Amino acid sequence: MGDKITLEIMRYDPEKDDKPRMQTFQVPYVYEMSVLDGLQYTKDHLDQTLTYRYSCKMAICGSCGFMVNGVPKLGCKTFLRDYFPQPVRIEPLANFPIEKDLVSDISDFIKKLEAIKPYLIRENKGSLKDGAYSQTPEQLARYRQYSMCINCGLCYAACPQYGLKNEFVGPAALALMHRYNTDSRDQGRAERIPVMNAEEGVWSCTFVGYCSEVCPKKVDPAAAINQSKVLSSIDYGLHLVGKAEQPKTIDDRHRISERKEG
Amino acid sequence: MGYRKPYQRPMTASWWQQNRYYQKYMLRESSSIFVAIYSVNLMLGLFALTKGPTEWHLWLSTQTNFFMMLLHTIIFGFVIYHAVTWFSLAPKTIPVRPSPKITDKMLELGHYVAWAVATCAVFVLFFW
Repeated sequence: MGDKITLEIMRYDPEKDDKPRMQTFQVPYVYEMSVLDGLQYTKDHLDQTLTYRYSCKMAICGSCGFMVNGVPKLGCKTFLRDYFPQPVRIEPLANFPIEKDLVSDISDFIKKLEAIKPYLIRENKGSLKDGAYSQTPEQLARYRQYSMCINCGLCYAACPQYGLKNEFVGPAALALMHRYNTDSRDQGRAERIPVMNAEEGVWSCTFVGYCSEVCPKKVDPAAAINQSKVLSSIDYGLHLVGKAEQPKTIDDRHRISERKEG
Repeated sequence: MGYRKPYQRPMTASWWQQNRYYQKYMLRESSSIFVAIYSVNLMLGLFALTKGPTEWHLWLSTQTNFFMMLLHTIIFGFVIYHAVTWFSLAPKTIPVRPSPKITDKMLELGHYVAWAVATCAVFVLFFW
């Protein structure tokens, strides 16, 4: 006992600083401590002005994404023991603007997420008495992996294409688009295709693949995007012969949530 | 809402040096430059062939000098690297599997088998 670990934390106070700076803290090292626990100790005992986001502490909410020694990680799922006795550098998620200290502004990602219409779109909404839309385990298996996304934004911090040109729709949003496009209950693919085919859609991805590497839920956005490229190419071919899928719905009036479907 | 002044960190030209994953990606992408050099050389050869036997033999003789041999060795290394990295990524681009029993490793292996078959076919065509 009595061991200490050094946390090098990026600080940025928009009211005082022109640019971020690093600050070092010594926290007691305990084998079970996560990076988030380290931050919690720092805030409770060393500097209460330290700002960061977290909620569930169990890799479900996706709030505590940080760059840990330059790698996008969830603070709650990353343990200090994997770095001890070396110091740990904690910075806000890369590629997003810093709001304050370790809080990054991910609103651009949220905007893109909305743009891909991440909900089931039905041509005709069935009535409640017809029951749920049924699906075979095989149909579920086609998209299940992509539905595991917790919107933590680690993949955006890992994506150099997004960092260089943030018009790119990006990994998580495109993976979720693929998730709905491959859902047998969904009929809204034609509505999402314009986003997919756009310059900043799937074709902005150069298959770096680091997004899939850092994903804490094993979603594999790189696979989703590159499979969407196949769909996009087929759509291009169909357009040439005038057989492309046309949107059946005009807007999201037919929007239904999965939860209602049960 | 209080006072806001979000800070956007600049992305430097050396971004790809920060981890091994990016470095390997850049190596894979830069292999295309070497493939392009090879293609240009090959096209020059075809062009020489259309010009006549003197030009063709001149092109052939340039291929065996030390510089060209070295260049070909480097290009060969890069092409192999490109193929290996691409084959390992290929299963990610294949959405529909006839059976869930077909694993990523099997698809990757399939690419190597196809490569071996194609190579043998080329050898047979040339040396038979």
